[in-house]
Amino acid sequence: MAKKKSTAKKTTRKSSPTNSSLKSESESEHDVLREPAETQFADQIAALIQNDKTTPPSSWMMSPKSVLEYIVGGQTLDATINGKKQKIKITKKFFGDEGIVERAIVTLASERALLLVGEPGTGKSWLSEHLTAAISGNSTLTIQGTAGTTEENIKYSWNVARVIAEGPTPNNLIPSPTLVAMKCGGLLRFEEITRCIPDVQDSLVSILSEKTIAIPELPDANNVRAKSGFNVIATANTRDQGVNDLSAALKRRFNYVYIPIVADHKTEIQIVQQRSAELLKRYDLPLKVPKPVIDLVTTAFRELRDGKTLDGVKVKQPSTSLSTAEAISVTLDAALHAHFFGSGKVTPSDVARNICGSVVKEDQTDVKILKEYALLIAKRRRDDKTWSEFHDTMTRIL
Amino acid sequence: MNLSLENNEQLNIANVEASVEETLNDDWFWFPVRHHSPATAWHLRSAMLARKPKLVLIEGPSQSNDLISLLRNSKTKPPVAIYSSFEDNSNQFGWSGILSPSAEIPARWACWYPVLEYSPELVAIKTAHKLNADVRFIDLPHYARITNISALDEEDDSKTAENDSDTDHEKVLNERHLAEKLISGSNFYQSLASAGGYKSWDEGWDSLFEFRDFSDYEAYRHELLTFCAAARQTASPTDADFLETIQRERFMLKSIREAIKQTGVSPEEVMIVCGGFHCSLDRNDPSPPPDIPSGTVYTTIVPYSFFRVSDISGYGAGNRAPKFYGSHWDALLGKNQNPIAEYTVSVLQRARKHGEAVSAADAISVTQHARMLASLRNRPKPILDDLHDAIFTCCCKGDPSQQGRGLQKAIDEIDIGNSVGKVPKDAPRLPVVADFYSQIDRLGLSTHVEQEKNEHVEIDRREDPGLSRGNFFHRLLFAKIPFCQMAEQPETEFGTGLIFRDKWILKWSPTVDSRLIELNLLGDSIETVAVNELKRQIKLNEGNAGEICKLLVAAAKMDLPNLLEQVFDLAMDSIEEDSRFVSITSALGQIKILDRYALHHELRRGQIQEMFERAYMRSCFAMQDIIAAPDENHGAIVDGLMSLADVILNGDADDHQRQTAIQAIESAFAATEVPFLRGALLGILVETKVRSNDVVAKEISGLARASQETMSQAGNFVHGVISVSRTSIMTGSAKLVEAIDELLRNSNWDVFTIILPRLRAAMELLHGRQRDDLASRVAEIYGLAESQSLKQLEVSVGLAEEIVKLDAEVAEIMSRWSFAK
Repeated sequence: MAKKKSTAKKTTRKSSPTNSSLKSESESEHDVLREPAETQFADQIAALIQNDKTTPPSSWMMSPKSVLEYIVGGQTLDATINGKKQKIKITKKFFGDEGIVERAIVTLASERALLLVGEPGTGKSWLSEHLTAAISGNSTLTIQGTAGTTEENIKYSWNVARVIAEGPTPNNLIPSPTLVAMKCGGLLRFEEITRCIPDVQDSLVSILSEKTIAIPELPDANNVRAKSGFNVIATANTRDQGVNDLSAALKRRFNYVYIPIVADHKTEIQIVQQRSAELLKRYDLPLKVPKPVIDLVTTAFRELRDGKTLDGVKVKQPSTSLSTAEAISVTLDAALHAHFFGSGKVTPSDVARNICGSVVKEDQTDVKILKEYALLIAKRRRDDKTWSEFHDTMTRIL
Repeated sequence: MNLSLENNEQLNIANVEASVEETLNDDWFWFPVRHHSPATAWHLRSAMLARKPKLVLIEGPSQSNDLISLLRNSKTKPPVAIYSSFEDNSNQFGWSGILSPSAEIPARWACWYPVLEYSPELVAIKTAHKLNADVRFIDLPHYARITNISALDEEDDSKTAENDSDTDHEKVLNERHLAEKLISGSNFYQSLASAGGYKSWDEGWDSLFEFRDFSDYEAYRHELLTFCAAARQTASPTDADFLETIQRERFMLKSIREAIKQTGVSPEEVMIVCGGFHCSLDRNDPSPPPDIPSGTVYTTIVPYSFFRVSDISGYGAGNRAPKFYGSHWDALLGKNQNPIAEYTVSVLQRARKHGEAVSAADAISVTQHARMLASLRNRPKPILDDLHDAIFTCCCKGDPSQQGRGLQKAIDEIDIGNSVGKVPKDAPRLPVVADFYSQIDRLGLSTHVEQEKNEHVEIDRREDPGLSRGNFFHRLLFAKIPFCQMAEQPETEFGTGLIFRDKWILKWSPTVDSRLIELNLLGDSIETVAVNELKRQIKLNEGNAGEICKLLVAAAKMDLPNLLEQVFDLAMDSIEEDSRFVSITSALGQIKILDRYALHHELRRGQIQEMFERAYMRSCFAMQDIIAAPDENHGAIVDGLMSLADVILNGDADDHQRQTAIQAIESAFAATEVPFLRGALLGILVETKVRSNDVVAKEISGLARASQETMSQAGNFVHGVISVSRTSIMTGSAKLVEAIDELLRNSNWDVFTIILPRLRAAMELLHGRQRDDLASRVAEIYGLAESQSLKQLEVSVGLAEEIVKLDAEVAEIMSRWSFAK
């Protein structure tokens, strides 16, 4: 049985990114600001592939179970990385209902494409990136949906100067990320699909149903057929609903997986703690955000978002969506502030100075709401040193 | 199965193995079951057919052994339930007057044991019958645990069925599920669930035992015994449920020994069918089982429904999807070849009925997705959780709580189903059920029971049979027995003089029996049930004059003369004690209705008149209490004010009483600063002709000239006025419109947006014609009513045309002569 599986792996498994993209930390860490997930977590991906006991679907780097393990984390695996035997801990990349990740993975192994929907900042793009990194080893085949996205961005375009000189030939064609993904049996990421106008969105219909892009300008090679393994992960923001809703034809070709805002406070604290630590490491900042400060940020965000405090007192809700991503951003900004302009220690005052920009965006009445929160709720908690400092600074600022 | 036993520190594997070995090697053949589990039922049947036991002992209520033959009767169509009630005639537990409406009424307890087609217990009974085996129930009667039940009921907040209020001492939760709670709460199961990613006990069970293939019943039995023994070892031994379970097990052990002794079968011919948790019971426990208390016990089988069995009903019968598991049972029997596809198609068909755009292609995707999810979750085939997830993934285009509501509804309907069981006609009837049908016969209503359709009946309550029928119907209505409903409410028809005529709609359905069975706790006849329910409600509403007077009217309608005297006195006392305006005015309205009844029924009108006068005066004095009432009370205050105005306008109050009321209203109007209440009180003064309708327009004009902040209250004021006074206000509509027009012209945009919603709400209270009238006045003010000034032609159309032409020519000539300037 085991022998059979290993044979299958040889024939269908995509080549692991380990040899090409596994760099030592010293090589990669400071070269670029942000590496794609398959580079950042190359050792974890390699470890999972080496320990994979089941046959992956065609063109997948690892089996669905290993993809799930990569996303939800928890295990420590023995692996050989750059010729050295190591123990690799698989970190948790998605916090929340594991069932969501399972449904997303299964969708990608099926005929249908995946659409991750949810409030801004719920981790849709993050999940999309990690899914593509684990499944196809390339999370960079991405189209960013905007009002200006055209059909050419989705399908292909031409090198006009060369077309004028030589006419349309395969060499003069500029492939889109879609075309590249189709040719290599990879995954295409389509960010914020509902920002695109409906006509442009609908150019995906034939790609998703026929798995083909027609190139009528090339008489001898006028059809690009997708290789096995090709699929699409799109993301859409629920706040954009009704702006450019997907057509019924396109909706049918997507499985929707809804990502809710993190339901419990404890998990949200965990997310902010882990992500802010990762980001600080990326900025090379020798700082650690104290737990009480993270508690403060997540509590304030949760209470303002829910319109009531953890002990049930009603508060007004601002118009902005106070996602976990915003909480991470405030924590990071507070840390940067403390490092460059402060004492070098992240304090509640740093949070107070940076929270306004997240809460107050379009609607100026949100200032009043924030002020009310500081004057009523934070004040009630003044016995706690963290809240007391937060309250005093907020009172001064607002 | 690879149970992760080593991960649990508390678990002693050797002890678990020893316990399992002891059970497996016992002379008696123990078969562990989960109630309502088709897989267990299927393996149990195989085991019985293979072993051919002579005596089958089942974990069922031992007081209901006589019902076993009825349960296997071919005319019994599950879902049914064994119903058992106990009446503590001697008040040995001291609950009379606490759980019962009064100290002289004994407290009663009831318990339901639902049985489905695929319940292992029923399958065991039917299979035993085929094998000519003797069958007995061995469990402790529910009333032997009464003290514990009461304590548990206080803690148990899971029971949220619709009739919760009147079944608070009814044990609907199947007591056999105590063991299941212990298993799912054990450290062993918690560790297992965490490792397997099971989000619920049902998911865990389905993954481990319901949808897995086992080589034979022995493999299933062995694994389930091991699972339950491990759970038992890591459950909290000090848990109240555990201690209670041990009491039951002592009784089971005693029953098993007695049954073997009585039947004389050899130990190898005995099969014991009980919850897996009990299979490891202490066979050497020297303690005796608890005593069985004496009292009146009724037990019978009654029709039950899939809905009541389902978790969603809140009755706690322990089955999340009765219909779905029914399909699973059919699949195990080979009657359903493709249950997953069938289930998916059924859900999507139902979803289409709820307006969801789902296609056959979606059904294909769902089944494929469910299979892949099951595989990812290490399950050999999809379980209900995988199917639900697959349906939402493939068919819900957005947030499941918003865009998935239709799908969720369809899933619930298909999971649960709508089957209602049947019992043979010769099944023993509870006294209250028997009384209902005997009265139906006596009153000549039998034809209405034979067919399940609405039938209209009109009765004259001045003489029999109308009088007796009316009393009976009102008692049924009061006890919420869904056999009859009033077609028209007589109190609103008083003007027609038809107070003695009732119009009813009758319809019998199986739910009538279900409700009657629930009411068994309140008494043995419909009259006793009505009396006890009335007493219960009186107790609940002590001191609330409005509610007590409503009950007084109900007692009069139900013709309960003995109780009526008592309620009269209570009503009088409550009027004296109750100082709340809303409650007192509600009482006033009820007393007026009662007075009208008194005309045709032998009620003491003098006493009613005395009550009326007291309630009237108390409501006048209570007026001061409303002046600062919060918004949520305004609706009830308006009703109270209108009741009072009704009394004044109908001449039911003498001059002195009228003056007292008017002074109270004037004084409250002067004192209140709440705009809505100011409007309502002024409206009442206009409605009762104390003030002219000009005063309302003046008030609004006054607000229109005040500051913007004060002006913003005008919407509430107008809303208050129109809530109580429509007809009178409309007679002065011209001035009212002008005042509102002035108000709107003077308000700035912010204030306008505050006023507008309340003005709209006020206008919604008017009738269509009243609104048209107001609209015409507005049109007149703005010169948009030319159509009304048109006059009928007094000449022919042709002549009129000639006149128009001439007129045009003259106008042109005059224009040339510059006259038009």
